[in-house]
Amino acid sequence: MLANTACEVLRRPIAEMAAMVAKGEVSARELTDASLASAEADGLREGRGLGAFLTLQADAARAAADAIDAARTRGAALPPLAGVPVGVKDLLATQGAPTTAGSRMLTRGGGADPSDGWRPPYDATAVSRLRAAGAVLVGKCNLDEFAMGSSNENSGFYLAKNPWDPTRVPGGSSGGSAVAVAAGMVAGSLGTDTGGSIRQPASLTGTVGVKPTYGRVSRRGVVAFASSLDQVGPFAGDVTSAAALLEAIAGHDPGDATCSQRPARGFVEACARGVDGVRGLRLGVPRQYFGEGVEPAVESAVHASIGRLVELGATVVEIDLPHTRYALATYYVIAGAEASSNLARFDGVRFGLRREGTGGAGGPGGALTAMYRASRSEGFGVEVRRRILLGTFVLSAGYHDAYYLRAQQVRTLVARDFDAAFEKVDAVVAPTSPTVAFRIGERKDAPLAMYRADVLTLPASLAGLPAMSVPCGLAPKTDERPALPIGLQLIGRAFDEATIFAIARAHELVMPAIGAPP
Amino acid sequence: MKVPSIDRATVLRLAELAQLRIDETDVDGLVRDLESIVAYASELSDVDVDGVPPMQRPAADGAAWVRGDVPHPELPREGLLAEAPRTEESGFAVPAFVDEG
Repeated sequence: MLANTACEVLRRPIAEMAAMVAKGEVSARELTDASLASAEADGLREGRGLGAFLTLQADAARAAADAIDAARTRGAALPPLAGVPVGVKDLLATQGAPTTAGSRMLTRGGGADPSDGWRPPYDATAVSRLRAAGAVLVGKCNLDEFAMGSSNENSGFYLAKNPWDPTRVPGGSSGGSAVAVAAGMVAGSLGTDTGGSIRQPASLTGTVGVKPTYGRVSRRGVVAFASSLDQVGPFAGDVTSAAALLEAIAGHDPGDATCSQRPARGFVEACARGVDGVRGLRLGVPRQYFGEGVEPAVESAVHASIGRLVELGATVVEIDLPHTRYALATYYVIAGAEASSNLARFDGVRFGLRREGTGGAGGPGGALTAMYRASRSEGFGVEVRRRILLGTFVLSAGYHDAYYLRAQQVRTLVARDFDAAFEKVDAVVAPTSPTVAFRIGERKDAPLAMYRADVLTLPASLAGLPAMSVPCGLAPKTDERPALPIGLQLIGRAFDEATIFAIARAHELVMPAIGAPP
Repeated sequence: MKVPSIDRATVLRLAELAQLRIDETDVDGLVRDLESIVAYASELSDVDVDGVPPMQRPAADGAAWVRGDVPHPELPREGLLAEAPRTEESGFAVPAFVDEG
């Protein structure tokens, strides 16, 4: 098959792609070569291209693809994702392949080349499950350093850019994972979502992004940011493909004490209900997710999509999630506190950057403390240091109860809002991001303005609920900007991803496709 | 609640607790950033949380199981040490922190 045809196949639904590989209509090697070629053409450095990837694992990817093609030739049964090229956020450990978390803290000597990144002795569980399902890991995707950011501008290496308009951000923190899918470099990818880091970039790039229920996917091998919030989830070009990826990675793992034992199947099946998937469902539209701060183009696209769901037989109920306005403050207190604790492990001893310090406090521990400080100060970027300081503040004597404990109490109230809503409705529908993609640099020096990008995704994160973003149209082109994608957010009951997949698939079937970026 | 004041001394003290060294040129910017974030977070004091239990993590059912108490292979020592910045006698090496004098 010609390379350009293999590129075209990369944009097809994953099940179709895997079926073509199984039938020999395209080889895993052809798909992998096409994927690697588009990622390589994009260029793995600052200034050129979209910056979707930090590193490519070309040799390993080709070897994995060849093994799949050989298995097919032998007549062996192929696994469900056989030959499907995928990218993985560089926050997930990949055995023997550079893993940086987007930080120079994890490169040898703090260097600027992500291929000098830490090489873990094991795969993250989500990664090993993808491989076991036959997916071919072509590379590690760009991200905000330690997943802290909403624009990918905090990458310790280089920017990722939005394929719809490269002067704009792709969102974050899983920006590279979203770009790789939106630009057709891979069929799917993995990201992580702590406060919106899958859904917001999915919204800004016109892709499907799923944050599963807290506990649905193992975090073993995922560099921890905020452990009470972090979840791994997929990006794909369509809803059923995202469901197939989630089925591959979800489910119990004895290597993660927070990982649920519930069966994690039925997501693809839910999509197969087609336009009937939403019939008879009650959808909650939260008053607090519209209005101030939400762009009119976003509101009208979301309302149009709610109209589509009603036409398919859903009932709409206006609901109240009264503590929504406190979610942002709650989140930054809790995530900061957990980050300051989790990032204490980056101390120059076990991995990455180490600098022997000078000017220690003296005494027996002086040199050790000086080494910690020198290593951490050189390795962490501005936003990471800001959040560590914030987290240290809210955990410090005198402020713990007023900030950290209180935020945990407000978190209970945010979760109770959802509990009350789910007595009346089966799912919540809302915008994902209050705005379309913003300009690179526009919010870089205004942390609070940047944090507000996640204001509509944070509540579901705090409550631990499954949520996803699906494309629901393009904001019309204006003098200042080209047409840009808008995302519809669906939030479900805990462990009820199936319902939001069914709604998302029904919506996708009647939603005019936004197409690929220009 | 009165919003606590964040000044240079606060930032330097937090940096010390967090084992970070802050360049002199960055201190004022961090004071401003933390001031605005902490002021914003202080809105949480408007919420009535009387009798509300704190939520440490979502009420998912992850903790509903315990791992069997059976030996299992762990990551090999060499693999873990291979990427360490400094090793010594098959362990991670750190500057001396015990006065042996």
